[in-house]
Amino acid sequence: MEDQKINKDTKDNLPPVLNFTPEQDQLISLLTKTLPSISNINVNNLQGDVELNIDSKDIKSICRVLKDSPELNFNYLECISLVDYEEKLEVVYHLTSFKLKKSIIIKTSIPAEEPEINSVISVWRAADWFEREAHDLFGVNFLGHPNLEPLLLFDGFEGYPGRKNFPINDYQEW
Amino acid sequence: MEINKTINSDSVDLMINMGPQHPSTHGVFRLLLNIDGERIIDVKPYIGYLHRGSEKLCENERYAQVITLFDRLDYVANLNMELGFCLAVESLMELDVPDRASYIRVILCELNRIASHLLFYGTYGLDVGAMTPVLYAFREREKIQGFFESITGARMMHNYFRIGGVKGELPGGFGNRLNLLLDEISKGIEECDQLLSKNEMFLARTKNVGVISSSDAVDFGVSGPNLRASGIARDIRISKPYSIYDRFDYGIPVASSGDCWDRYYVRLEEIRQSVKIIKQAMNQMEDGPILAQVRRIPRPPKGEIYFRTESPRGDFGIYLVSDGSDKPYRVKVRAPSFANLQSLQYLLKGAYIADAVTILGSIDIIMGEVDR
Amino acid sequence: MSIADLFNYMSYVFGLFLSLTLIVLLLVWLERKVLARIQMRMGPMRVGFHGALQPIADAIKLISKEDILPAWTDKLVYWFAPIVVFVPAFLLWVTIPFGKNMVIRSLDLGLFFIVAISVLSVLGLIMAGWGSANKYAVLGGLRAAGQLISYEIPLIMAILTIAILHQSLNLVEIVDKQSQIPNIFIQPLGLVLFFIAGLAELGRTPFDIHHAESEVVGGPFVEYSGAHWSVFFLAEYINTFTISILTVLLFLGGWHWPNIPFSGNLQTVLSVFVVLIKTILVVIVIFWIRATYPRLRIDQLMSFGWKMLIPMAFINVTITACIVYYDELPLWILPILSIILLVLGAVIIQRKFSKNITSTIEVISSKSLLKEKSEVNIN
Repeated sequence: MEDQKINKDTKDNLPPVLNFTPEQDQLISLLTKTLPSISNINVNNLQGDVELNIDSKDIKSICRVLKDSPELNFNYLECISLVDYEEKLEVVYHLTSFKLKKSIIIKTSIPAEEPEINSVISVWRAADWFEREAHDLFGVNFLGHPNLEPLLLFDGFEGYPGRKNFPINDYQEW
Repeated sequence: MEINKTINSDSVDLMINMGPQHPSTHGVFRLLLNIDGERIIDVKPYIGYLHRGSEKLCENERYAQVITLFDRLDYVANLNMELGFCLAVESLMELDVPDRASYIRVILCELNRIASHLLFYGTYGLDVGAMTPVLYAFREREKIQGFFESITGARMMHNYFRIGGVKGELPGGFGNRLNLLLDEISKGIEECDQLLSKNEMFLARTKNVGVISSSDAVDFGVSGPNLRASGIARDIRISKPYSIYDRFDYGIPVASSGDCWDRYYVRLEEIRQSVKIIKQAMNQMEDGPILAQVRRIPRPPKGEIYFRTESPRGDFGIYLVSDGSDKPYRVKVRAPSFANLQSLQYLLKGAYIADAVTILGSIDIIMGEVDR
Repeated sequence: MSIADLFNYMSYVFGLFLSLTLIVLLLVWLERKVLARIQMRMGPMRVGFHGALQPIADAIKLISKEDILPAWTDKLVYWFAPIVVFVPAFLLWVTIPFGKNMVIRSLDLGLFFIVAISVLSVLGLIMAGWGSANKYAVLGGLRAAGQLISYEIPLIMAILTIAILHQSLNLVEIVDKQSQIPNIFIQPLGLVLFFIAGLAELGRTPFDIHHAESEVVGGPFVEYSGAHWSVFFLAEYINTFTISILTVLLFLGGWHWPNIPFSGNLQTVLSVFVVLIKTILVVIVIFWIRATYPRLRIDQLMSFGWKMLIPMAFINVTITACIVYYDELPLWILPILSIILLVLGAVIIQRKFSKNITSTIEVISSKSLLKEKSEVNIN
């Protein structure tokens, strides 16, 4: 529920289309041209970054297009973040294009039970450790990642400490 | 450097475990090296020995309390970490910081950047086997730390920045002392430069070693001085100006070959530029309030932000999700060292063992930030 | 051999051991002080006058520390390695004169003896590396082997030029023949070759590759502690002193220069002081180099040894031999040729590195970048 509220909130604050700056408009039209399948394009009004809400199944193909298309060329993966909204997990990708000098945000939701998503390591090698970390802390299974060993936690650690339901105070290590 | 992978089928490769207790892995970093003679064939980095779960801890602290946790991420550039978090919360609250507070922040952050780069300079000297640079660097760094102590009350874990400003007014005689300090630092930097940079042996050890091309660097998410050494003039202070960084005139050092020496010298040059910034900030600073009108327990509205700042090690990003309560819903830290360190696996293949130390040192990692 | 003879020998050994230990203590103190002054520190100040007793306190601490024996070591090899390193270092002093008439045995094959014995210490380092059952130690031991064996050649060649020049292998004779002109003015190249190769033999910066702290964490000595480690330490400093005193005896005129005025016992005592002071000056240069230079990589070390030092050493030997053989050639040709070679070598090194020095750093102004708004790829 939490995330829907937040999304709704941002949408409410945002009169459609009118609030877009010409730069954002240009980027959005470019995005819709290259990726006609995407319908849910949003703008984070705090940063002015364009936000794409996509289906988790398409993540790899969309990322591939975003990187390879000569006009967009989002070549720099800044961060892969996971947000735990209890009933679902949200995977957030922050990308930057050195050519356009713009950043975009890609958001996709995956179920909290047995979360799975395609790995983007073949698109950006930077995704390697970010995905391993997410696997460690949130238990997300990145399909196609060559090496999902524990990165930050030790071997045999049980539970996913990044999640909201992981106890923070009464947790005992030994 | 050409990679000779001559593996004799009769010979067995030697596995060397470098770290977590090793003098030149800069903290608790572990490398599993697969070597053939003096050449590294394969490398497996292991991190996580310093994982404290900072991100999770942040979710259970109030916004003002989180600042102390950020101090402990990059523990040689604490103020830059604090700045990142404070700015993220402030822009989430759409809060205007008083000018004087911004100037104080910038001055302290740039001093912190100098201190951080000086630490790099000293330890890099040790990595390549020169023992004097570290003492020259620490002479200057010590002055900066003493200066910090007089302002923030602590040498490292300052907890000085507040949401909406800074904790306290500057001590008396700040301007004169800062000018004195800057003169000493500028002199010290030139000494450091003369001591190591153009030394033939140092050049032999670092030139054309650990070369990363600009496209590879971008692909690995390398940022900060490491990326600028590869020829890409990306600096968050300029591409997405935050705080008051757009009011200063300074230089961004950019090198082209992306080897260890370039990564080293870009940092040394950045110290000079930071001195420039501080001098301008000193001249522009005026009297005024140092803390905006903020509630004691700030409650940012619902929303989320990904705030980028330029820490001494690169793009320091904070993904902050707020649910409107007094505690952040989610804090994700994009640590520059974390991404920079990924490129190590690629850089070390085919290098000498001695180069492993040189390259690792030139990437300039801080494990507190990598492991969080 | 009578009991008196045995007693005599024992007193020699004991006296030598005592004086060498004292010299090592002095060198340790001196090194710490010299390094400290270069690095704007005070160095040891607490124990004794300006920390003069600090080395003794350190020695007591080292001896009273626990001797750790790691579980997987090859015990025999592990315990014998320090002795194998120490004995040759000690044995060299049989034939080294440290003043006029101050030599235990003036061997006619003195230089030959020194060269033969000094090579043995490599064995000890390899033994230490192997016996420790530690990968870093093995790596360090093998590095030491490669390094010491390759730098043995220029070292011997430099000694050989002096032997050819003075037609003698006896150190006392060689020093006495320098009463007119010290060899540094005849063989400047020989001095440089000897000193560089000597530094590599000692494993001192910039050639401290086999026990590089930042790479192999102490190399062969990584598992040693307490008294056994201090034996390595002792041997290392004795070797430093040996190479320095050999430099003084072979090139800097020994106890001549300045000529000592008195005669008899007083002259002997003064000659010891002259040698000691000259040696300590050379030792200080070694410490100075340690404070200044970074470490070379193993391949750079090898290529420097085999591509620069050895060819130059051979050329030097050939030239000296030719000039000595053809008597009609004047001796002053030798220093001139030597200096020409030296300059040539320096130019070759300079040319090799000068292509590296070209700075590629470009400082872009923030204002110009702000106008373009960011990420410009200057490639």
